Amino acid sequence: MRIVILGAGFGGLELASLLSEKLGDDAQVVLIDKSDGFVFGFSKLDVMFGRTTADHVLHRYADMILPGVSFVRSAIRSLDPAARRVVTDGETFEADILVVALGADLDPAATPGLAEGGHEFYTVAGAFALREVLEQFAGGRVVVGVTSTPFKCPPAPSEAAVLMHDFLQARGLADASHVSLVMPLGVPIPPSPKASQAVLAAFAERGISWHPERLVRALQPDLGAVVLSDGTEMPYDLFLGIPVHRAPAVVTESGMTVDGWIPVDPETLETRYPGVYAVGDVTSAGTPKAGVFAEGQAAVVAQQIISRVRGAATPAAYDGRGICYLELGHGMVAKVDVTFLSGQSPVGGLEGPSADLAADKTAFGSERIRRWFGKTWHATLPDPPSA
Amino acid sequence: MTTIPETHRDLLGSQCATLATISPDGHPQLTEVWFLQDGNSVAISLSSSRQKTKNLMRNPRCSVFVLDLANPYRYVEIRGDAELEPDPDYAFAAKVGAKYSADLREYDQPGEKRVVARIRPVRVNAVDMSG
Repeated sequence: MRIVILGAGFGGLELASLLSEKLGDDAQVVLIDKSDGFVFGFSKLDVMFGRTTADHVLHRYADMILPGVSFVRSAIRSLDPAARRVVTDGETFEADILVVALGADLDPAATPGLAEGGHEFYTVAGAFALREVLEQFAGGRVVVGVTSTPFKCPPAPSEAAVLMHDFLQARGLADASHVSLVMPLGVPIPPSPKASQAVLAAFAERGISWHPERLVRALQPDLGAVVLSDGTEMPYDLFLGIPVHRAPAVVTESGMTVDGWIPVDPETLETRYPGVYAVGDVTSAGTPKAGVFAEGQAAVVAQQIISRVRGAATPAAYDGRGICYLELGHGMVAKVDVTFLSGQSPVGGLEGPSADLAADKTAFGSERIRRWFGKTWHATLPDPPSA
Repeated sequence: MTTIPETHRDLLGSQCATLATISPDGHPQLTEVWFLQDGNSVAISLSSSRQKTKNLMRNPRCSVFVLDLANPYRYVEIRGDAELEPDPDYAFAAKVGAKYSADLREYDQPGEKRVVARIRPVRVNAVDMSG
């Protein structure tokens, strides 16, 4: 049986590693991605704020050792879900089972003025380039702003605001600076009131201005102003943006999307095309766009494929659960545990914040890189608490 | 740092060791392996297709057991977490091959890759019951 996985992010890597572990050579798995390696979302912040290097956080697909999995580095040129056929720069692949895990594309050009007058930290290249920009920043008005919904890792803009403040403080620039956060959500982490309270407390402690329920529509670099969705303007010296997200063009052109994203059965992650699944950010599965949800969905798809190959028991339905580590500055990390079940209100709990959970977060990354790449790796631990 | 006592360091020059890893169902899996001494650590070249490699990717906890074949009442057990790193150009595999006068590439099927598993001791049991 040939299984073709499009995209080697959290979802694609988890699926490939589970199939490799359970099926070995009984299945032929092709994993296709246009990048040369994988970078955790949280590593982007680590690089941006100078806590580690770009090279350290890039996990090269060429080094993957998963038996039975062939990695193909290519963009996807076209996708025919009815025929389960995929055209790459080189070969054309026909699949018995096709899994679309292509994530969300980011489009900084969709926000007027962003490219000329601001920066974004959601692409790997954008976050890595910010390291030098931040090193040279002499202080001033910093605006962290979301430009559209939905957006990946909803807590990340809040983390960026806190870490930005702490970065400025460590450089003696906090008094000459002010950090503001513009967010479409009403609270920082809607499913978990406790986590939202912890984030708002971290903002209050640092004097970070919180502007909920609005978006950044445009930048006016000549005037040094950010234009918000409610028509107001905010002055800025440094803008750190979350760019517009959309399904990759090849997915939209395939006809798989409805209202911009791929609809799936929330329990099985099957699309309306037989033998075609979709996981993660590219779907409208009802979960936040974050790696841990793609990973949980990939595990459900893996069970279905394994049971089809092995004739084993009926796989479990997707439970909508995910955990998220939340950086709250000064080396403190909290853990949010949220469940999004179709037709029910999402619920979430909070553990911490504590310094121990910072080690937990490091272990979370290490475990995945060991499983997916067969490599021992440690993300840089944040500084210990100062107090 | 946990070290291997002088009384048993000679065993690190032995031909073979038994590597214990944890299989997915929780049972220990024991295999006989070639190995190299690397200072205070033991280093093993593994093929990506082997179950022991998959076990270590899922759970790095392992144990290496070396028996004195001349005096089977003497042995050393080294427990640790395997540190894995890719060996794409067979650089480490060649060092192992030099000890055993073998070319490890000959043992690998197309598509298999080599990984180095380095075990730094977190606990050592050095035993001599020969009195």
